[in-house]
Amino acid sequence: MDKRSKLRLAGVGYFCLLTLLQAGGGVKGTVTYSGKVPRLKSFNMAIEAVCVAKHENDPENYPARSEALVLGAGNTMGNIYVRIASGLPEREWEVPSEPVVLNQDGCQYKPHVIALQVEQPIKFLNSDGVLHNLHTIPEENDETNVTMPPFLKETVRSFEYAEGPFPIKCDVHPWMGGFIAVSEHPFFDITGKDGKFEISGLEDGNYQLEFWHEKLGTRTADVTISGDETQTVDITFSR
Amino acid sequence: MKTVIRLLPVLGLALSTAVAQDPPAAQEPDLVLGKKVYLQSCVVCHGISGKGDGIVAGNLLVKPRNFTDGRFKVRMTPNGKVPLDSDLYRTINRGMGHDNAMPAWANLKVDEKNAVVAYIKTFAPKKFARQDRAKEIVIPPRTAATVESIAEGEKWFTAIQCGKCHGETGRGDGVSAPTLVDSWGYKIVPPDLSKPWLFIGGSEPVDLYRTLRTGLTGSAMPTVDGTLTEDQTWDLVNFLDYNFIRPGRSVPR
Amino acid sequence: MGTGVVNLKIGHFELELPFSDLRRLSSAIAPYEVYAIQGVKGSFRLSSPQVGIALNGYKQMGLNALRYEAALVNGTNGAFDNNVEKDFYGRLAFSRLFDGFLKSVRLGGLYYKGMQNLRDLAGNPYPTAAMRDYWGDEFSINVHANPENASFYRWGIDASIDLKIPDFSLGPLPLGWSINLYGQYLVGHDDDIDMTNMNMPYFGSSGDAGGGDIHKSLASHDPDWLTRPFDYSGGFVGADIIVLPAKFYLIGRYDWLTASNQWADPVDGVDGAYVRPAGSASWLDGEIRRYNGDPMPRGMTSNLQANPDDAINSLSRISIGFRFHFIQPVTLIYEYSSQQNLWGFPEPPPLMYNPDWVAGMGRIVNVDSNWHMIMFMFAF
Repeated sequence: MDKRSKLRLAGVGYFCLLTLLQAGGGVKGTVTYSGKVPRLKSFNMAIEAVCVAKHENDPENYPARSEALVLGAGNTMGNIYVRIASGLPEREWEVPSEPVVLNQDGCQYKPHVIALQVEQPIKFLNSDGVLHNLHTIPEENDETNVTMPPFLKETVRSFEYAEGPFPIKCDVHPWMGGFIAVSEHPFFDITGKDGKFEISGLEDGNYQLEFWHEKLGTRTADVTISGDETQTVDITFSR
Repeated sequence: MKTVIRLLPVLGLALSTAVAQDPPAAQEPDLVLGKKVYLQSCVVCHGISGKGDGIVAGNLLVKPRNFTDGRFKVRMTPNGKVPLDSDLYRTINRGMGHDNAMPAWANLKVDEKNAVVAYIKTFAPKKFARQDRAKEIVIPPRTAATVESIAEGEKWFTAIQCGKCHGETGRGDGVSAPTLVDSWGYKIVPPDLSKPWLFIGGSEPVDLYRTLRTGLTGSAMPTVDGTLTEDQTWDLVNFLDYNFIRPGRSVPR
Repeated sequence: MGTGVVNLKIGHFELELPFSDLRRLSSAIAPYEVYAIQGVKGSFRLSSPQVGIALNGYKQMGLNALRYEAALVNGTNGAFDNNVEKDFYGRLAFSRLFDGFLKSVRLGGLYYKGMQNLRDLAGNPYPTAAMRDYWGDEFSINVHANPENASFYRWGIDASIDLKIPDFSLGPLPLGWSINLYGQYLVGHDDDIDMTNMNMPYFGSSGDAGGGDIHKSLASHDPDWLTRPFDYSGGFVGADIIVLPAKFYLIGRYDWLTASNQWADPVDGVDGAYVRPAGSASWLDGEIRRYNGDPMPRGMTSNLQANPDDAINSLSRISIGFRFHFIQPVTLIYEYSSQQNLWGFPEPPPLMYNPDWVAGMGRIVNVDSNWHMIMFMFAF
């Protein structure tokens, strides 16, 4: 498909989406964790003085620890990628032109899990002023490995194919790891520390929700949307 | 001689009519021969199903390439893209450096090499279906290796912090060198830049340029595409060439 | 080993054995026992290099492969055979590659048929021309060397299996075990490993020991050669495990050998006389000594005089160890072996025709041995 027809479709999609947003229902909820809370491993950033300094100045996050499990009050879980896995009509969805932003800050990816749509731009920032490399290891998309030297403050990329969260890493700083999810539709969310997610603009129908965590795998839940009500689905990850 | 010259247009005409009448069909890759060559020469490392899990793979520190997901290190295509047939052919022909288990298979016949390239591509049909979109990068003429160019290259070497992995003196002993792993989680080492025979993509200036511009997919080596311009990349190549790879030469002014 | 279908080797080479002594991960002090066994010093040893000519090859047919060697050789231990009869060695193996957990299987067989005149090889305790001269000139003893060739054969079957356990992690250690399981079974037969003149080693067996009488009686004796065939079977099974590629290997092997027909023949042609009778004499420490009974400690062989079936006739060894290439130049090798019973094989002094050594040779003795080997290797 050439770019022009893509744009045209995007326009149609956008129109549809507007209609949907006005009329659609939604689903929201909270993700919680049950079970023993493991002690997460702390990172030794000694090879990068800049990052050590950044974390030392932020006593709450010092030493920096793995973000594999981010819990809020009441064991609510952050960094859960929630998406509609099935039930959506076959359609070209509008692609936002607004980029999502992934910052490399204190030798950590912020956010740790990020999601975007196919062909949506993703802007990588380097606020550390040290060498990073953006090494994505997807299955469907092309593996990319881009130099992000101190003088390059931002670079913009995008992904061609939808796929579940895949790792991004920095080879210079072995502890740096994050995940990028590429969705073909706009119905996804990532929970914050409060464990809350919300997906809106859904037509009437039966959907399957999928919750993904980097270590604990996926959970699914079925939800039926009718009218413009917002359903509530709470889910618990346990180990 | 005169006769030849006089005949040339006739010959040209003959050729062109032949082409016009009978366009050469895209040559069918000989997968039968490819498989035969693969089973003879490649299978012990790369495995029957191309997953890089042949008998010998377990003994190797640097793992044989897994062909099933279309990631290849040495390419003329941009970062992340699948390689061209000519890239695979080149790697088969040249091997991957002297410290790597992948030898040069230059002894194979040309049609055997072509056939095995075609066969290797069948392990990742989905990725290689995108091959027509993988455009070959253009390598502009080399910037003259002047004192200025080399100084400029040194500046980029420092600014990019290549030394984080390759070491400040290029000895492959950077602070991040001990922790490098490839995309499959296997340990890898950055080469000592003063040992060009270890370079998997070759050590001629044009090879360095290619490696810098396209990166080595699957390994930790990123691309400088998007960071350096083409001229700046040549400056960096000139610096690497004069400083590490063939040091001791007098620098042209 | 060439990769072609037909390769020709001429010269001094190691036979293409199923498991070359040179590929062993274990140490030199724990060789493959069935390859290394020699009936007596100077006799044939399968793992020794040979002089000759060999055709070998490797033919691949898809995932299957056939490997063969056919050799005509004539000489072992770096010395030429003294006969013109050529020895034949043949080997055939079939292998197939597999995908997944099982990587490959190889099955093979070998056969060796040889002729050897053991009795005049240099460097062994049997009478050489020099010895004959010495005994003849000094003592007027007519020491004979049996000119007859003795034939022998070996045959064996072998298997080798390669496995790969999928990669897994043990804490920070990424592991992926490559395992090679291998085994060899071998049967050997020598028509005659002995040169013993029926009367030669046992001076004065008539009871008339010592002094010139012995010399006279031997000098007038017609050589009447005793034939002592030697039969054995045995093998080894083992596993080489690569735990961390190029870093850490585990080695384990079990060797066993049973000598079904060893030195338990009647001496002096007397049935039931399996050890030297009382009053015999032998040459030791530069003089002829008289003995009362068996010169070998009885515990070593058990009491053969009473019953040859009691003889200890099998040995076994288990070896386990590892190789650890832990930093660039340094390799640490550790191996523990535990052996039950040894192959009796004393080293003779040169030019010495000593019946004691002959008597102690070519049989399994009841001596156990355990050893640890720790080795640091520096290789740059």
